Amino acid sequence: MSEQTVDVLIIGAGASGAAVAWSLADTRMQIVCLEQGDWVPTDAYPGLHANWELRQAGDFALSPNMRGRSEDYPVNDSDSPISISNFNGVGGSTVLYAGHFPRFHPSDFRVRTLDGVADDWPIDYQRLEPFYALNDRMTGVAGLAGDPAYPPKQLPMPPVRLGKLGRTFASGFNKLGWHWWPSDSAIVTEEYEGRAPCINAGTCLAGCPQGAKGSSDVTYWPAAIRAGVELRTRCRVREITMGANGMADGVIYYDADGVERRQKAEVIVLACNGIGTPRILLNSRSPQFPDGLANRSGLVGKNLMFHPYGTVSGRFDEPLEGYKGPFGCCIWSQEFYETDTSRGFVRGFTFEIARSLPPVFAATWALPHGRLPWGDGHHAAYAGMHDRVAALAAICEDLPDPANCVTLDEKLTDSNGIPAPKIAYRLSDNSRKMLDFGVARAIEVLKAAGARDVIAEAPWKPAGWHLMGTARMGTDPERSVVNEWGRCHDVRNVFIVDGSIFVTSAGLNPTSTIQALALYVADTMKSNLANLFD
Amino acid sequence: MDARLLVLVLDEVIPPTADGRLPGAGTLGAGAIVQQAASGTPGLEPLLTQGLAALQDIARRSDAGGFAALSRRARIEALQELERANPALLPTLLTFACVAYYSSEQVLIALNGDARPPHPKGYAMEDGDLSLLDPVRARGKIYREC
Repeated sequence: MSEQTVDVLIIGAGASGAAVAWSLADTRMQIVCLEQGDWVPTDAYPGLHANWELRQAGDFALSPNMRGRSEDYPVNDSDSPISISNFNGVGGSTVLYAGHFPRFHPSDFRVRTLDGVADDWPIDYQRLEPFYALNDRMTGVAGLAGDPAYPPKQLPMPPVRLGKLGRTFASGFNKLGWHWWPSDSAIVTEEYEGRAPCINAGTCLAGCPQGAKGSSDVTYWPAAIRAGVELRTRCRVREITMGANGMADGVIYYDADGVERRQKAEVIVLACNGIGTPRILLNSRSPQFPDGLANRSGLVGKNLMFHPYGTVSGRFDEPLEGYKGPFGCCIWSQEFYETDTSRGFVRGFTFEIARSLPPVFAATWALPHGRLPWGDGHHAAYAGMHDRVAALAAICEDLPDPANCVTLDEKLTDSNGIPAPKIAYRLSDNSRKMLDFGVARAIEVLKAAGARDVIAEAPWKPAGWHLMGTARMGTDPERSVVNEWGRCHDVRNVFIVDGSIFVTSAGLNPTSTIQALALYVADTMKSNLANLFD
Repeated sequence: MDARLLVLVLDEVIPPTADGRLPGAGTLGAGAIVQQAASGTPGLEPLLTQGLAALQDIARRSDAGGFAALSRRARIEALQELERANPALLPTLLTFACVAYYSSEQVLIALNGDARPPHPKGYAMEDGDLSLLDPVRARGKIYREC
């Protein structure tokens, strides 16, 4: 081991690692973060080049298996109808996310009490609310106050523009008498904390060279580093090691040259999200924990939740100017969010409206459905689609199921030889019914908005970007991995702050809640510094 | 993989536009994308190599000179026969052809009037009319208290 023991070692520099690093920095403790990826330089983003979409099938692909960078780890997701999407680097998956930033609802923390399924969270909306608000300010969230789907909240700046496409969909929702609202978006719409506003370039899923999208490399990290946090990139943790007193004593990691190194720490914070965190825990075997660190409950890696996406697109007669504007953020609808058992399922979903598909995406979207032929009919078919295809997605709440899990692959490894994760996942009956219902309602909206030639895909295979539940939070050590403030029941100096501690998934994008939870855990740690391990 | 044959096939998969403004996908260089993908995707190279070989066999039944020697009509008929025998090949080629074609500068200019990258200029767009929210506001709260 290195002679120097740091106070806090954070593993992962993504959404949650950045937030917890920034929050803990004001304690003046020595904090080190190890990140397996690197910074993405502004001039590396594809959006600065006319052929930017090409690189979404290459070094900026959402799938780590397709991207294949040396800092990525492969994921065996062949036993799942939904494949994994993520990014490994400073900012983590926020580098390539859309920036949708909804909060959970109060009911999302009371699933067992209200609907008789899964478990209630050991915390509630009121507990997290101040951390949601703090996170909104740190991230720079745009939105419109007064959404009747939420308790009152104030957002730092005006919402993203509706544009012609948003206006078209809004009219469709109004015809049906259904809820819609401008999306809460982690996209600055005006100058904010030294960041330039969104210029409506639409390349969000390939990264934002403008810096308007609130990825944590441009939000928390600059402030955390200024406050003294040390961020070491290209450092991949293999395992957490145990000391003699029932506490973890550090990690073994590989540096950029592949050299094995050790780092001692008093406190270890895992922030690698729903696949990366259980992977490290399962790789951290010892005589005390032969089945993986902090896994006496047997729940590490279990209860993996995605958000099954029911994605429906349609073709409009008029150009929508949908290439303008943040790709994923426009308007949402939570008409079907809360449980109504007459629908045949419990819980619900959010509709999110995307902008029109850019040229390559539009073409490849239509291909599997036979809407874009080869040969002489090709050009006429494409002309009828260009800037005329728009989509919405039903983002369905997934319920925890121990059979849906992350384990270690027996053969597959990353570039350092560390066993890679393997996913086993099946759609539940509840999710299937919700998807079918969501697709049917989405078709109604599209038709009300004037679309035809509707195409549906459910579940949408590439949409495995929300990774939750694999080290769940709870008060009972037999039924959870961490306690109500993120501390592992089994190892009292190891904390988890990412999506893996979610008890349930809600029916919306999780990053706002992941970061609010990280800030809440950090705040609780600071309040309990004197007796952190009691 | 027969690179020359691949270009000819891609020129039929996405042919030149009738007005001559745009070339076919093969002439535009989509073959390079296909070959790059084939080298990095397990199973793709044999699918393409065997498929193109089968196409040549079909073509040579009509003309000893193979696919290159056929008329356009005969090329399309050969591809249609191949499509019946090997349904996976043409959709695969069309996918890669689309990726190359619709990210090329020449095609983007034809579609959008220019081929500038989205950054750093971005796009101006209309604000949208938030009075459309009036009926949503009028309906009132829809979340559950708990």
